[in-house]
Amino acid sequence: MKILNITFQSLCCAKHVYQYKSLKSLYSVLRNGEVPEPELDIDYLCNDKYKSEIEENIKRRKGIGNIDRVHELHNKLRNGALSEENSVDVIKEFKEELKLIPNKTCPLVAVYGDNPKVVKAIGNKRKFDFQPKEFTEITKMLHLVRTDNLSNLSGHKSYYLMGDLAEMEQALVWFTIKKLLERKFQLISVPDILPAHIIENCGMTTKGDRTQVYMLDDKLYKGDHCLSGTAEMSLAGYLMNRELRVTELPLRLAAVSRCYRAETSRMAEERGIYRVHQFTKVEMFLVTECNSSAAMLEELRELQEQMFASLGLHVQTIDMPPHELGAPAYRKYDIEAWMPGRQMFGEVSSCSDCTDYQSRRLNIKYRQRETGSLLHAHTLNGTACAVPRMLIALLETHQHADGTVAIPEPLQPYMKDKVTVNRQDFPEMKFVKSKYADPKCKND
Amino acid sequence: MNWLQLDKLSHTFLSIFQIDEDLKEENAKQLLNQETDLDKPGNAQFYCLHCARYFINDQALNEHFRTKVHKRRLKALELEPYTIEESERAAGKGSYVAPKKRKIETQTPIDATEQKSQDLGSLPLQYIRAMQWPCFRRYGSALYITGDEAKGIFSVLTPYIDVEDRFKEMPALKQSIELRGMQIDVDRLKHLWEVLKTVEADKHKIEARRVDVTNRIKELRRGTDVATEEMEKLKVQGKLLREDLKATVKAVWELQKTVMTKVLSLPNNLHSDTPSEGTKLVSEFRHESVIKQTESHVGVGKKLDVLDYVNPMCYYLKGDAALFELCVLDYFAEKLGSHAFIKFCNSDFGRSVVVEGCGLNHEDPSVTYILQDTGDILHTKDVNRLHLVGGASLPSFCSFHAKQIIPVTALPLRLVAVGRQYTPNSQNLEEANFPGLFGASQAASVELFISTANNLSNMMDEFERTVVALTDMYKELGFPFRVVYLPAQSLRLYESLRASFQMYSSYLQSYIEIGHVSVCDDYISKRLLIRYEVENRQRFTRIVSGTAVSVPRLLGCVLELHHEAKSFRSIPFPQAVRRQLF
Repeated sequence: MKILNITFQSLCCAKHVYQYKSLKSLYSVLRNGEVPEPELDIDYLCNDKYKSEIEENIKRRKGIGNIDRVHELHNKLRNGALSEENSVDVIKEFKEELKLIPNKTCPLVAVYGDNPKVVKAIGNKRKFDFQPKEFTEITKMLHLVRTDNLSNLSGHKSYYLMGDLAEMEQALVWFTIKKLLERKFQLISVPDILPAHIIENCGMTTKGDRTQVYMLDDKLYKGDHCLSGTAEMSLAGYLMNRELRVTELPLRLAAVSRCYRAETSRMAEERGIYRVHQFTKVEMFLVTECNSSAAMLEELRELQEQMFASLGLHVQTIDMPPHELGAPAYRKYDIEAWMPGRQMFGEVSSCSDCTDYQSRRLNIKYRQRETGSLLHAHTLNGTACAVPRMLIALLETHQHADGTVAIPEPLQPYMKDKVTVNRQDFPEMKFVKSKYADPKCKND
Repeated sequence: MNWLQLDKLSHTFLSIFQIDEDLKEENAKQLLNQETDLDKPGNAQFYCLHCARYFINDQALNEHFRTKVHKRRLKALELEPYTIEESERAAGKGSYVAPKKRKIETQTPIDATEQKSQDLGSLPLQYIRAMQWPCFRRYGSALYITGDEAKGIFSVLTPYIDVEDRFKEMPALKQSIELRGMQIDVDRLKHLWEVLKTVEADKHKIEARRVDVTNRIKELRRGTDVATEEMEKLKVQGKLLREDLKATVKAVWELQKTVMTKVLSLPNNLHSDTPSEGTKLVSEFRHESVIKQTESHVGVGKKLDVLDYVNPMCYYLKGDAALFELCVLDYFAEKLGSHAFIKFCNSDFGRSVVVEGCGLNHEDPSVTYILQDTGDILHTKDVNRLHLVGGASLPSFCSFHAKQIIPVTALPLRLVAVGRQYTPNSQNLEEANFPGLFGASQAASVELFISTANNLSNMMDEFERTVVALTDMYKELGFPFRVVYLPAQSLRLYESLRASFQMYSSYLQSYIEIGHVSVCDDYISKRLLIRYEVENRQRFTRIVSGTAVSVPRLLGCVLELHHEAKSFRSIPFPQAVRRQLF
């Protein structure tokens, strides 16, 4: 009897724990906004007519996704010959497989093959009558950045911008924001820590070994939380489950945020602060009606080119080939700036048209003007200013023979009308390798 | 993982020395019959004496008795612990007596069937408690690493621990601990410290004698006459000494672990201006009596369409409020810039060693966000984890300064950083319970950090100057506010005085801290070896730190103050803030 009683007690416990757990998860979902069930275009994806087309597309993008399996599962479900438990599993797998199929590709891009196409170039490579120095050398001479001996104190590849360079970061942000406000962008301040499912619905993986995403320790914090890699994720989360008025469209949003990326690189040309784990970025996110995203992409590209050109940079725009698009993009432009110190073009910005890929997964809709029917909106995103890369391009382009750097005119008003960056006048500190204090070191 | 496994990881390790105390009968009786404590696993009802661990139920405890960990611990306790007497004997006083072995037995297992029947309603709470903090990765201090641990862990630095100096100012230290409401028995700690010192002295003595013996053996070897008997004697002596040394070194490590971690958790001494209780008003600007308002800033923000608040981890500022955020940051950074502050853009991450160096608990997930280990953490035993603290925070500045020597010509070195501040839970419970911007975990902030020379009046000068400068900035903003010194119990470990800039929340009917300036003295510099050099001698800097403004808190108070505003733009902001954009 006693044993029975104990079993009963422990069962009750288990039940309570279980209820508590489910309650907790329900609670957190509700507070974060319900994650919508993706509404994918099954009529297109599961139509035999388009099967070869989709297959061709996946192959061209060198992406993942198995259309054969999708069709197989779809047929199984349609025939309805499955038992009830079985069909639950099949439906689950069907949904998972369906989610993996990448976006369509713009027909103009599809013909490029594996080669990117330069569509536009602005400015020329600046001629130097001296050997142009690299960003790291310039900042070392002028005492603008510290990157050394920080690994054990503030993490791998961390950096501190000092004095005028910190000011230039702020100036770049202000310059960009002003330009965007002129173009009727709405500014939003976004959270940097997001629930993992929002990031996944944007088309990024958060699990696995090669993840680019930092996560909070899942043993210490309830629910999966990630540090956002770009404000695009936070903005998409902001718009999740929204039904927009057609008068609101095109909706232009911009956000200044810190971005955290776990990726690392040991490539020589990505040394210094070229690829870092954390940086400030101004991101643009647009929502349009379903047939005007292509035109909006061109507008976005022109805006970016114009901004970079006005800072005196030599930039080229590249139309990315299918295999560089990633899963969500229908078409994507990369903008590269010439970095004379490195003697190479480095990507400073990109903009992509995701058509309805994200809006189907995050349930972003609008009501059409004429018919009043509810349609999936199209989303676009683009980098307005990723600070570290911009700093590299600016410093290397505008350097003088004596190591000082000219500040581009549009930035001067935000830097107290300073014209050049000179050597910072606060003295350099000395890092002591020894982990002990000098025995004589003592305060009275 | 089930909660049984999780709980195993969450215990604290007590040193062998303390457990020996516990094993004495009267202590043991007390420990085995503890009062219900809801904060301990299993409400403190299931305790293993020898391992000093709590378990969540009888089953877990009985299972534990069968584990290797427990059996190993019993074995370790069989030898009587090292004592001062023994060390004296080892060092040559009296004759050597080998430590006695004693029989150690597991306490009688709790018979599950005899357990008093538990109220079913209270049961789940246990489990909820056990789940809430499922796994502390407790590997102890990241700042102080003893010799035996150093094999597995890379230690970044060794803090300068001025125990003697601290104990010299015993009354001040005791007062600081008492007023802060902390529970540390300083006298006992001092006693332990004395023991550590004697044992360390013994270690040196034994080492010296070992050197002596080896030298004599060498001498004998060199000599032509073979004094075999003498040689044998010396060899035996050497062997004994080696064993002694081994035991002593172990004892030193064991003691260091207990003493040093306790010493590191001692708070800073208090400044004489810090009130014992209640706040002390420094200045007040445009105080108006306000009637209680029924609408919180979350409601006002929604009404004005500038705030979309989801939870403390997630809120969106829209349109003009987002601009307001940037403008306020810019305003404070610019103004501080004109007071000779150098602008910085800091790293957002900090390692455990720095977090602990700042006197914050690096293992507490509600103090800083602790990140999942990534590739650059060498192995899972590494205590030096990655924390998300934000660029505009004290740990971030400390990472920059740790192990640095600042040229004396640069002092006072005033730095300011614009960025984010991330705090999982607001320190103040009332604020955390209120769902609003006051408890938000992410805050755009302006942080300042001043290093001064080792001179009290210099440091206090900087402190006063900064408080005055910030007061002027807030005056120019034009909203009512007050500056107070916070009482001892509200101070962090590293602070000896904190000037708090506060605005009134008419919804909460209380003051909310918008910014603060603190005197840290040399508390952090000593722990993180932040020094300057003068006349070829290194000295520790004295630090003044603070947050000039925390934007979400300011915004919350402003929204409640102007709850009747028609639009966000119609709220009167000074020209200096508007200048940039609106």
